[in-house]
Amino acid sequence: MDIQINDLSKSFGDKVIFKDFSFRFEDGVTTVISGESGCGKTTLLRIIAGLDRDYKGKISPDKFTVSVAFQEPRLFPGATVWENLAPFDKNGRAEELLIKLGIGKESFDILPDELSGGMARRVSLARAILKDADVYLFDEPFAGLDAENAENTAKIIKEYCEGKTCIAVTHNKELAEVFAHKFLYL
Amino acid sequence: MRKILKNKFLQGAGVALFWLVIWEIAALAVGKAFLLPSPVATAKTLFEMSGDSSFWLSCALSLGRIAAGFIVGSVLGTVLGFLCFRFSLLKSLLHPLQSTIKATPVASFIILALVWIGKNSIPSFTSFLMVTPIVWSGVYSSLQSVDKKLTEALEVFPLPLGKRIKYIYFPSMKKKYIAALETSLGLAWKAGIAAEVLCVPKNAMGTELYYSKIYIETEKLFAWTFCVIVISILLEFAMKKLFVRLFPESGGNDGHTD
Repeated sequence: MDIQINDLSKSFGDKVIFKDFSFRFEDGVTTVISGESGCGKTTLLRIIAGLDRDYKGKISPDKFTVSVAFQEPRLFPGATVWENLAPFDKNGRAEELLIKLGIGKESFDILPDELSGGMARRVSLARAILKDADVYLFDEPFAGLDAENAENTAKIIKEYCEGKTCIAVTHNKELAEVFAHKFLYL
Repeated sequence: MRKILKNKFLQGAGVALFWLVIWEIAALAVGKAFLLPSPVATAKTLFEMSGDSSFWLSCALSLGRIAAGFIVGSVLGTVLGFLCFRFSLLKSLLHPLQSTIKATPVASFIILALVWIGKNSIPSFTSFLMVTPIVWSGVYSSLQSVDKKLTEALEVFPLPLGKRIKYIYFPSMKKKYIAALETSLGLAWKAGIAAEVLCVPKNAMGTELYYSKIYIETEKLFAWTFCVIVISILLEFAMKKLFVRLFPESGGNDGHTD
C-alpha cells in the first residue's frame, strides 16, 4: 500500500518541523529516513502511525493498519515475552523469529523487567514484525544493540519485511543499506 | 554485646522491655490501678479474659464485621476507580460524594448510621466508608500515572480489556493500589472498633472497651486495647505477606544493553 503525504505542516510551539512537506512511501518498498536530531523523523513516524493527529495536511489512504517498533521497547510489563507476542502472531512465526533474534526459549516465560535492555529491544522488534499490518514503522531499530545483534537485526528486518511497506528511522547508514530500498534525508 | 545489638529479635525485645519498665514505673508512681494499671495487672487480666470463650467470640465477630466492610469497600473502590478513569463525566458526578465521605468525621457517619441501619451492621458500614474513598482515589490516581508510552503502544497493539488490565494497568498501579489497601485496612480496623464503642453491638471488642470504661475496669480497658493493637499489627503483617506472595518483585532492566 502506498502512503501519500501531502502538504504536511507541523510545529512544536514556534519551531516549525514540517512546512508543506509531501512524499510518497511506495508499496512494498523499505524507506529509510535519516537527518539531523530534531528534524522530525520520529514525528513523521508518529503522524503516519496515527499517534500524533495535531498537524495540517493530508495522509492517504485515510485508513490503514500500522505496526511500530518504538524507540523504547514499550513491552507490556505484566506479560511474559511470549504473551507480549502471541496476540499479534497470526502466522505462528514467533518462536522462530525470537530464536533468530537471539532470544532463547528459556526467556519466553519471563517478564520484560527481567530482560536486558538489548533483549527487550529485540523482543519489541519481533512484536512489530509479527503483527499483520499495511505499514511497518521502525524507530531507531538498532538503538541499544551491540554490533553483532544490530547486524543480525538488520538482516532479519530485510528477511521478514521484504515486499512490505516499511519505513525506518536510523542514523546507521551502513546497517540501513542491508534492507533499505530508498533513502529519505530530512 | 555488638552481636546482641545487631540481632533484630533481641533488639525488639529490648525495646519492648524498656517501655514495659517505663510503664511499670509510671503505674507505681500514679499508684491507682483505675487510672493506670501496671503491665503485670494488665497481662493477668488478659490471661483471665482469654480463658473465656466470649473473648474469642468478640474478637472473631469484630474481625468478621470489619473484614466484610473492608472487602466490600475495596471491591467497590476498585470498580469506581476504574469507572471514573474510563468515564470522566462519572468522575465529575461522583467527585463531590467522594470528597464528602473523605471530609466527614467518622463519628458523624456512625451516629447517622445508628438512625439508618441496625447496630450490628454499623462497624461493617463504617469500615466500608473508610475504605471505599481511599481505594477509589488510589486506583484512579494510579491509573492516571500509567506510562503514556504504554497506552500509546496499546493503540498500535490492541488487547482485550482483561489482558489490558493484567498486562499493563495492574503492573503499573500495583504499588499505589497495595499502599491504598494497606492504609485503608488500618483505618477500617480502627474506625470499625470506634463504631462498636459508639453503637455497642453484641459480642464485639468495641463493646467490651465501652463496658470496661463504664465500669471503670481499667485493666480490662488496657487488655482489650492491647488486643486491638495486636490484631491490627497481625492484619497488616498478613496483608504484607499475602501481597509479597501474590506479587513478588522482579529486577529492573533500565539502562543496560546486550
